[in-house]
Parts: sequence; C-alpha cells; structure tokens
Amino acid sequence: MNTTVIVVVALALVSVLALLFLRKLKSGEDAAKQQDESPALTPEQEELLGLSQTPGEDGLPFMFALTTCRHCKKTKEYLDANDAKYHLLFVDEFHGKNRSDLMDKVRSYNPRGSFPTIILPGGKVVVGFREQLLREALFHDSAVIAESSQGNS
Amino acid sequence: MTPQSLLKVLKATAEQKGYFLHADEEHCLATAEGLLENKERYGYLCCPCRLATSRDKDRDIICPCAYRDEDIREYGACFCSLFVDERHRGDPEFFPDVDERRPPENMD
Repeated sequence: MNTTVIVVVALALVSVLALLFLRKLKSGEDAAKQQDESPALTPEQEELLGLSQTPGEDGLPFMFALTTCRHCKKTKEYLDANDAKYHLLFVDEFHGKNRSDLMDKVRSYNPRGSFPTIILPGGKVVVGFREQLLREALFHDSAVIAESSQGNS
Repeated sequence: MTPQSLLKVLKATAEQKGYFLHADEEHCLATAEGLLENKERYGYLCCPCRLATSRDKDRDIICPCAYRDEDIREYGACFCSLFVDERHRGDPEFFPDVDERRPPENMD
C-alpha cells in the first residue's frame, strides 16, 4: 500500500516537472518565433532607428511614443498645431532586439520608461504631454537663441 | 468586442469601486480602441499608455492596472486618465500629469 502511494506521488511529480519543462520550452520557442517573424523595417523606420542613437543632435526634437498612447497623440497634435518640426518614433512598431534597444535608449533619458519621452536639442527631456514645458523649451528657448544670434552677427 | 461595449464593461466594474469614466467621451473611446488594439496584438488588454512585453510580465498593467487605486487617490485619475474619482467625474478638461508609478524592474 505504502509502495503504491509512493509510486503514484513520484509519477505525479514527474508529470508536473515534465509539464513545466515543456511549457518553458514552448515559451522560448514562441519568443524565438516572434523574433524571427519581426517584419522588415521600412526605410523611414531604418532612418528613425539611426537617428534614435543620438536624439536631438540634428537640432530637432526626438519623440519616442506609442501608437496607442493618448498622451503621445496629444503631444503630436500640439506640436503639429504649432508647426514644430520633430522626429517621431513609435517604439511599439519595432520588435525583438530593436524594441528592447529602443527601450534601453528611452530609459537612459527617462528611467521610468514612460511615453511620450521627448529629447530636445541641448539635452532637455520632457516626459508626458507637458504643454507649458514644450512651449518654453521649443518656442521660448529657440526665440532666445535666435535673438542672441542676431545680436552676435 | 467594440470600444463601446468594452467601455460599458469597464464602466460597470469601475463604478463598483467608486470610480467613473472620464467625461471626455472621445478620449474614452480612443483609449478603449487602444486597449482593443493591444488585445489584438498581444492577446490581453495591456494599458495603451505603456509598452507591452508579455502577459506574464504585464499582469500589473492589464486594464484596470494595479496602479489605478493609488493614482486616483493621489491625482484624481489613473495613468491614462480613463478612470477618474467622483470629484472629477463631470470634468472633460481634467487631464492631470500622472507620474509613472510602475517600478522600472517590472518593465524588463
């Protein structure tokens, strides 16, 4: 009787361990499959990916955003309404290593990794839809720079 | 499921906790569309204001997220401003700056 119980328990344990192992194997396969099935990047995405390495250094604000994020949409609407020129990269349009590298980049400027994260020329960072901060940074600061340039010429 | 029917469900469950949908209906619909898009892409209602990784890692940001209560308590609205407290239930202009409360280690 005791031997039977031990055998049954041992079999049950082995079954559970086997199930867990198979589940882990499957999730690893799914992850690899997702990586392999990442769609090819468009030329525009390739360019943005390149620019994202040094955001703001070409003199234009660089916005990291999500396609589903309302705060990102509002920020874009505000910038467009004020004829601002900027780069816009939707992180969720990328996959696999590109996506994780982009998140590392976002977190290097915004440790919370939230969206939108906007890197302004000069290195200032604006997180979220902050109308006043954007107005000051994009329009006031650029006007001050323009005035001082005229004074120096 | 349509955005409207999703909002109906979220509204009913939120009101049980004393929360309300934001008064800006367009905002609510757009947020619901984002949730359904994530459901389509990832298989779960991942918060549309956050980047999804996997269902296992994102349990805390499946709508309604684990941070909703604290965010509403502190700011009057959740991170996406989909849910608000009683004080702001009728205010379509109420979009507070809600800081991300999710620990960075949960994003990896």
